[in-house]
Amino acid sequence: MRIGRKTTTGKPKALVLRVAGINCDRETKHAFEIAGAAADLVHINQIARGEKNMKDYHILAVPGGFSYGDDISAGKVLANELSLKIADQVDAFVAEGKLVIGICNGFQVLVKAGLLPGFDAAGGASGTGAQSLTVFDNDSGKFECRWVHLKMPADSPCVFTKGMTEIITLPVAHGEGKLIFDSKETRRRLWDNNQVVYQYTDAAGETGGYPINPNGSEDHIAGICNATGRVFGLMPHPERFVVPTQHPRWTRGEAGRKGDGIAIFENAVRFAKKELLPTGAIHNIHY
Amino acid sequence: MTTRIEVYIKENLVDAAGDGLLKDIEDLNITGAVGARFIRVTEIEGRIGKKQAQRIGAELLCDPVSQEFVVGTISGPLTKGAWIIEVRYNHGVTDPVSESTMKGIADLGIAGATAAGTATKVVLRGRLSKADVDLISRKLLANNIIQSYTIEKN
Repeated sequence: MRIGRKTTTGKPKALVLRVAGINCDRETKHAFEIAGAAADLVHINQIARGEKNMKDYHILAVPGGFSYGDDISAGKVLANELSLKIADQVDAFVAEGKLVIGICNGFQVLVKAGLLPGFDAAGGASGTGAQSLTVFDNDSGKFECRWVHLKMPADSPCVFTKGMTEIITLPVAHGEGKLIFDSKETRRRLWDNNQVVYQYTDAAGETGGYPINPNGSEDHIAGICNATGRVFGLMPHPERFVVPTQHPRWTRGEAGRKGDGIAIFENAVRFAKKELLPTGAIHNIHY
Repeated sequence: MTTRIEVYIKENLVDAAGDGLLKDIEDLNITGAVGARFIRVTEIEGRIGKKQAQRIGAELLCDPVSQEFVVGTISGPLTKGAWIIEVRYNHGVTDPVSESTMKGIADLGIAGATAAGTATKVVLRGRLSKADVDLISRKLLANNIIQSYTIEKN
């Protein structure tokens, strides 16, 4: 038994949100942990009841899965919970410049809750508002479950993908991944602000129709961020490629030295350490 | 009292399920079907006012970017002249979407709903006989062990 010994980890804390039907929460937690964060699985009711406080965390992850069975439409019921049950905490979290990532079902949630595209997000403002885009049924009418290539179309303010200019490969697994806009104005603003983070491409980095674009997403968009680059959502699953052996062709040497997805989590952790952890702060004191 | 809300995909967008149904109808060797659209029907039991029903439609059941809804039954060009097939669960069969719907209504702070049920309405166009539509319903739309269906010509 260790008594009286203080240790400091100095690790950013990631809150990995759970509700019924989410099934990528453990993989997401694992990804943050190997990237250097301390991660907790937290059920939304623990936040609503005050048992957990979002103020204690630096990163919020809304993982993939089928929240509430994707009944009504994918992510809709959880999006309403974020907007209605814990809106104040979510709004404050974003307004404080903390990091939010939504993966697959989590991306659908962020869009339907109005956290993305977050055009007006700035220091002290969350930018949440009415829904101006959506993630809709795949054009193929099928659940698309396979690996895709992704490329950043231009410089993006996205914190999570800083420096990731090369083409990456990640798996998708969704039936509702087609991103569509409510208007040409929304589309123009998203591009003008460089908020399009990833497009579906082929291995050479060229965009194209199905099957390169697995869902018919407008402008082949796979992921977007808000105006500050601190809220990020994408349909592919970076948490499913954090070590090379998760790639189906790793034995043929095609997986690279690290999984392509881990850099997204490492970028978040690096940024949180630098920008969100107070200098000299002592975290997670254990006796 | 039952409040009925119907949600449908905006006409300018692809209805992937409808397009898939047309292909499946061809596989049944039925020719003549030219259009299919899916409508999601939600029926809420209890004391729900008009404003509350509008709010449930707008904030829970309908995606504002991709869908539209009506409280009641859709009429007009969307359904006029078409075959209407409505598929619903038999009594006693669990309807999991209804449970999420009840949770969603409660999250909106709306009291008074005592139960919810769902159905799928298919709007089918083309030169089809009632026997064709009945075969389509039996083979492609309803599982007769747990579901039943009605057919109407609008």
